[in-house]
Amino acid sequence: MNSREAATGLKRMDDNCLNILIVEDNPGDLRLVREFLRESPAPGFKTAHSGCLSETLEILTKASFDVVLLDLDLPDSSGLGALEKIAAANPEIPVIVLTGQNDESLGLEALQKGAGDYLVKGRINTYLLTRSIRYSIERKKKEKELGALNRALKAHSDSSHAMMRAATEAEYLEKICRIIMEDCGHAMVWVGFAENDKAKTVRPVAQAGFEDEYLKTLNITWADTERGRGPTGTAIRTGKACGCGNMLTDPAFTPWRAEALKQGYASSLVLPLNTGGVILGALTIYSGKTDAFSESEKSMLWKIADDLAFGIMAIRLRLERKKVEEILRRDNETFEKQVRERSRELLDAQQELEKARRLSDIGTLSAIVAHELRNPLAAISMAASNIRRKAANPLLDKHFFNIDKKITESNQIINNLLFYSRIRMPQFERVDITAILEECVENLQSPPAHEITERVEFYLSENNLIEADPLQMKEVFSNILDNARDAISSSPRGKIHIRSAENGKTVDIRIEDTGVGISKENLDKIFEPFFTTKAKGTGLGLYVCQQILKLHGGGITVESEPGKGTVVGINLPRGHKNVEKDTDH
Amino acid sequence: MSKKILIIDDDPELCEEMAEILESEGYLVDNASDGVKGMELLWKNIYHVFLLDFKIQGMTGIDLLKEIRKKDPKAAVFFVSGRPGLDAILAAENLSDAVKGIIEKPFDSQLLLEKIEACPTY
Repeated sequence: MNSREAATGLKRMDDNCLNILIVEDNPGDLRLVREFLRESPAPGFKTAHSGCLSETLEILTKASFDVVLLDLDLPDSSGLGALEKIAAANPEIPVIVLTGQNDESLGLEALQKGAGDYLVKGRINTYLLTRSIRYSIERKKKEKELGALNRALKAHSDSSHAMMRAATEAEYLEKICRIIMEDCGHAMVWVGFAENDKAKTVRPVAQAGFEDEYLKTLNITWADTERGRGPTGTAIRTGKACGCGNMLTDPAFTPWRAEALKQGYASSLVLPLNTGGVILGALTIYSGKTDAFSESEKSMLWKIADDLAFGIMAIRLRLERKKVEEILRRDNETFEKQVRERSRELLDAQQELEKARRLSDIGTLSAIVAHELRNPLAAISMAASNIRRKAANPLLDKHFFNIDKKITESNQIINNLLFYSRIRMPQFERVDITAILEECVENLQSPPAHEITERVEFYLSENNLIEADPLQMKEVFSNILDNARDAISSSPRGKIHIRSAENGKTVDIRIEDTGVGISKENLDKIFEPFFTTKAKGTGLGLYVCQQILKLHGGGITVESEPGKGTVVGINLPRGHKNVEKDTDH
Repeated sequence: MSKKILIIDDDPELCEEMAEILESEGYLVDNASDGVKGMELLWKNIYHVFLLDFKIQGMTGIDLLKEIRKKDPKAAVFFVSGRPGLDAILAAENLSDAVKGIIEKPFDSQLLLEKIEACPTY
C-alpha cells in the first residue's frame, strides 16, 4: 500500500495481477491491445481504459496502476505533451508510448523524455507487449533505486559539510535530520540519545518532518521490554541496523502502530550511532511506503549514521578543547595579572626602602655632624672666656659679646639640624594617643609663675588607639603643647583644651589655647622651615611636625585669631596602611 | 684645701682652655686626652671632681665612670659632652646616680664654675 491509498482508502484493483491503464481513443487499436494482453501468459493483466489525457490524469488520482500504455495521438493532446503531463503527475508509474508507423523518431524522443519504452503500432504482438511491460516495470524500479542511492550520496556529502561547519551539537543534529529528510525524500527523521536512567529511555534530541506531538507519544526505551523491542530500541541495544518493513504487520511495532498509521508512516530504518563501541543513540528514518529502503540505500544511510556518530564526538571534542583553551587563557591572564601585581608590590616596597634609607642617611649624617661640631664650639667658647679674663679690657667687651652670641647661634643651628634628623620613617606600633597626650602635658616645663598642668583640660573620646611611632608622636604633641603654653604664659587665666574625636578611619585631635594667637601674615608662614617668632625657637617645630604627620598619612591645620587664641588640628589614620605615598621629595 | 679636678677629653685645646678658666678660680687641674693617661692620673692622685667626655680613645665614658667609682666613689663626676641622649644611656646602665650632672657642649664658663662650686670638699 502506498500513502495515497492509505489516506484515501482506495485499494489496488487486484493484488495478484498487473494493472494496466490503456490510454487510446481509437476503439480498434484499443481492442487489438486488449487481445494481445489477454493472450499473454502469467502473470495476468487487468486493464482499464481512458480515451483522453484529462480523463487519464483523473483516473490516475483515483486508482493505482503498474504501467500506462499511452497512445500519443489523443483528442486533447498530441505528441509528447501527454507523456510529460502524466509523468509529472505520476513519476512512479512507467509509461510505454505507442507510436504510429511513421513516428519512430518520436518513440526515441519519448525514451529520452522518460518513457519506459516505446512500441510501434502495427508491429506489436503479445510477446513484444509483455516483454516491454515487464522491462518498463523493472527499469522503473531500478531507476527508483538509483535515484534513492544518489540522494543518499548527496545526503552523505551534505552531512560531511554540516559537521565541519556546525557551531553546536544541536545545530548539527537538526541539520543532519533535515538533510536526510530532504535529500533522501523520506517522510521523517529523528535522532535519539540512549539515557542511562533506570528506565533506559531514548531521548529525542533532534528531528525533521515530524508533527511536534508525535515524538512525545513515542516513549521508546532501549530496555528489553515491550517499548524497547521496537526497531529503535533494538538497534541501540544490539548495535545493529534495524527496521520495520511494514508497520501495519510487524508485531514488534505494535505499541506505536496506531499513531504511525495516523501520520501515514509505513516503514522505518534505524541505524545505531556507534562511537567506537559505545552506542550513543540511534538515527531513525520513517517512510510513507512499505519496505522503502533498498540494500544499497541502507548501506549509504549506515555510512551517514557512522559519520553522524563521529561528527557528534568531534564537535564535543572541539567544544572541550575550546573550554580548555578558554581556561588556559584565563589562567594565563590571571597569572600575568598576578605577576604584574607582584612586580608592582616589589617596586613599591623597593621605593619605601629607598625612602627610609635616604631619611636614615640624612638623619645619621645630621646627628654625626651635629655633635662633632659641638666640640670645637666648646673650645672656642672657653678660649673666648679666657681671653676676656686675661685682657680685662672694656673696649673688647662688645667683641666678646658678639662671639658669645655667634657661638649660641651656631649651637642653635646644630640643634635645628638634630631636630631635622628626627624626621625619619615611623616605626609603627599600637599607640594610645590619650596616654601620649597626658605624658606630654606632664612633661611641660611650667613657666615659673603658673602651674601649667592645672590649666589643661581634657575632652577625649573613648578609643584613641592608632598605629604610629610613639617617639615621633611625643615630639609632635610636645611641640604643639609647648607653643600653646608659650601662648598663654602672659595671661594667668589662659587655658588649654585638648579634644579628640573618632571619625571613621581617622582620629582627630584639637589643641586649643586662649592665648595671644597668631597674626594673619604669620599664619601663612608657620609651616615654613626656619620661620620662627621666638627668640629661642628653632624655627623647625611645625615644619617637622607636619613632615612627621605626613609620614603617618595624616595632617595638621592651624586656625588662629590674634588676642583670642589658636586651634591646632591634627588628624591621624588608625591603621598605617593608609599612609600616602610621599611625592614631594 | 682647693678642689682637685681631673679633665679627660680628647680635644686638647678644650682641655687647655677649661683648665685655665678653672685655675684662674683657684682650682687645681690635671688633664688627660686619652683613657690610658687618664687612668694613670686617676690612680696616682686624689681628685674631688671629674670632668669626662663621653667617648675618648680607648675607653667609653661608662668604663671611665666605673673605674672612677672603684677608686673614689665619693668624687663628683660630670659628663661634658655634645652627645644627646646621655641620660638614657646612663639609666640603661643603672648609673644615673653615679653622675653628678651632665654639662652639654658648648657651655657657658659661668655655668661650669657654678657647678663645680657646688661640689663638696672633703
